[in-house]
Amino acid sequence: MDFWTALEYAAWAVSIVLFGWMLADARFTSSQYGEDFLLSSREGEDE
Amino acid sequence: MTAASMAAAAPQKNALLKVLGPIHVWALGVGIVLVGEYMGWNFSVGKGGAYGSLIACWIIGLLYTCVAMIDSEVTSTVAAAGGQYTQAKHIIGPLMAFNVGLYLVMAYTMLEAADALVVGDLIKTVAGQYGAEVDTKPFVVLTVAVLAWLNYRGVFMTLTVNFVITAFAFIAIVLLFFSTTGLGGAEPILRHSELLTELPYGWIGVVAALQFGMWYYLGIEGTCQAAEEVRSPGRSIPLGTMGGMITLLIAATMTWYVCAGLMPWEYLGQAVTPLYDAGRLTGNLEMEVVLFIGTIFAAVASANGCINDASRAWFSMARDRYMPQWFGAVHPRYRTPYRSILFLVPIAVSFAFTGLLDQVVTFSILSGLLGYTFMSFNIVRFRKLWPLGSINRGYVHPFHPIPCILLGLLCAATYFATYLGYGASLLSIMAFYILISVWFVTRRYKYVRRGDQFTMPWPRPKGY
Repeated sequence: MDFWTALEYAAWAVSIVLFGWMLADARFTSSQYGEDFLLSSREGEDE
Repeated sequence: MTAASMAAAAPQKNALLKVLGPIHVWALGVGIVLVGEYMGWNFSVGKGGAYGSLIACWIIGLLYTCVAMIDSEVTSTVAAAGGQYTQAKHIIGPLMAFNVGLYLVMAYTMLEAADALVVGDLIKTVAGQYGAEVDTKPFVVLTVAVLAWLNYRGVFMTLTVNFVITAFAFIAIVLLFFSTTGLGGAEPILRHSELLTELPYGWIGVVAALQFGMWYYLGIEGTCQAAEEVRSPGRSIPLGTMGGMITLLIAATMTWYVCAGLMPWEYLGQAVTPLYDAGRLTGNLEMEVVLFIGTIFAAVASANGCINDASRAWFSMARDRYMPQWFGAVHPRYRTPYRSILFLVPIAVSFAFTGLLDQVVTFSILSGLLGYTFMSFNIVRFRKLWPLGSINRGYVHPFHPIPCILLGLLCAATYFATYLGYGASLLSIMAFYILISVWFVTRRYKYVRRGDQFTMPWPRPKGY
């Protein structure tokens, strides 16, 4: 396997890891907090 | 701390984090646009010659100066994510807001796809120089994945990274200017007297060049998407936006001056990476490397800013139920609109996989142009309903109504220019927005939070 082919595989692998992490975190977050809280942001309100 | 006490200490409301300052606003606006200096603007040379491109650069610069001034005034008052969508919602009405929101999402998602395609093509070019042939797809996906991850994890780091790489890309243009003009002490190598010609297609060529003149500045209005996340919107948004516009006017003029003095218009008008080509023509290896890195950084910064802006626009529409409310969630730890960021990833990748760079960018430009047209009458209504003195404005743009009249006229000229080159695209995009408007009125509007969506603590509008 030459350098550029290895780089292509590495790009796919890193992409899959990052997307996988984001999807897993989104799922975990949804399971840990209620929808009312996650959707409680209101325009124009200061913290 | 026990689980019970943690639950008791947890905030009752979840919101985007207010951590940004003027440099982040600058990085967002200039970051999205600067890739247009590295590539794309030069197609205006193909339409109208080198002088035609310079005229387009300044005329369209005037259009965007109007956009930046008008946008700064309204956004310094309507300090919320969603930018022009939120402005339209408060000032015009729901149907306009829905359309403007979609213009924003489409313009930024398509531009993000085009930027990722550019990164993939650049890597393919480098591999080609070593005799290898690579597929662009993994690098397109990697670009989107890394930037989506960065956006997911927090806005402060996202726009700090954008500041660093955008500043590098801008400094690369300045270095190229000094090294080629002789101002940096080296021998001047520009040959304007030999390369500049008359207008090759006359004044109609100049009009046709207006469409590609937009590449010099397309996306600077994206600064106002950060309004809900800046510490002081009344100060930061006008400062970042106007500072960004000045940066772009300087970068655009330097870019034209260097490229028009190094390459004949016939070549420049169809070059893929004109600034990188200019770097190679200096014969200086360091300058070539700096311009190559600048090209990559400019494309990455643009895609990064586009993910930020498209997700904020989608998030704001969902929060008001213009789109399914599920997308209006904020991540409790990172304080980002994480579901909107994730949702737009496959859409951007799909557009990028088509490989139709010119069509994708044309759709993006036209969506942007529709948004600018909206701004020209939005400000008239804003000043009429809430005259100066009736509400607190962080910035008041001068010479009203001259900028909005000028903006309307320049938008009309640019529509005509687009019709000359991409008539079918223009008509199909118009048809798309008309059909989607029908869907909104008949199917979606019933879900909109009609009362709750008006959040600004403004007095009753004049005449109501």
